[in-house]
Amino acid sequence: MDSNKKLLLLPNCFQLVGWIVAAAAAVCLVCTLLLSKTPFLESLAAVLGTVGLVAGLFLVGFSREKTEDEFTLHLRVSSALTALLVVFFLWILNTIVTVFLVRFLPLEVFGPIEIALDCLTGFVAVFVLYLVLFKIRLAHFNKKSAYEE
Amino acid sequence: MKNSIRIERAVKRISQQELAEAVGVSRQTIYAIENDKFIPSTELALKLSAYFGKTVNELFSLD
Repeated sequence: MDSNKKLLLLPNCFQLVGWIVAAAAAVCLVCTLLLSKTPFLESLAAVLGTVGLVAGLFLVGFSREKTEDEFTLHLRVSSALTALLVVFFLWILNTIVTVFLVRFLPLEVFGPIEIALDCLTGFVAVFVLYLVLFKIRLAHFNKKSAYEE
Repeated sequence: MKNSIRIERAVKRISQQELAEAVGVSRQTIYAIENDKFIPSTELALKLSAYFGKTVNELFSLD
């Protein structure tokens, strides 16, 4: 469909690049955190690994499928909306629970860094959930349509 | 919304893949339309009707 050609999506080949980057970052992250004994290397691996993982998943999530059409767009939009709603309700739940714990239990009050990290985690969580939902739904329809030929 | 895409496809003896290629969409899209999981755009409905030589009203109808 013509409207889908206007979508700001990367070419399909970036999906493979994205998976490779994400897998390499995840392996690097896990290995360094498990094996490294210096705090500097641990921090460096945590930052580079996390950025690499998110960047890789970004490439996967925003690259065209082999056949990108209006149904794929429908799946993308509905997955993004579901992810946004789920994370939004989790965020509300998290806020309520955190405030309750801080108010009624002798726990440390979170500083600005923790709050910023919470926000970032929320944003990344929306994206990761979108990607998971989109890929699962696409695979589901792919499998179903293969049976119905 | 109901449709008779599956019936028309059976009459023409073509697979979902062949129909998908003819109208420029994926096989999943044809499956989703046939199973009432997705309502196609006007553009795709017109392409399908042109392919089967039927009007849009003959292919699609309200419940």
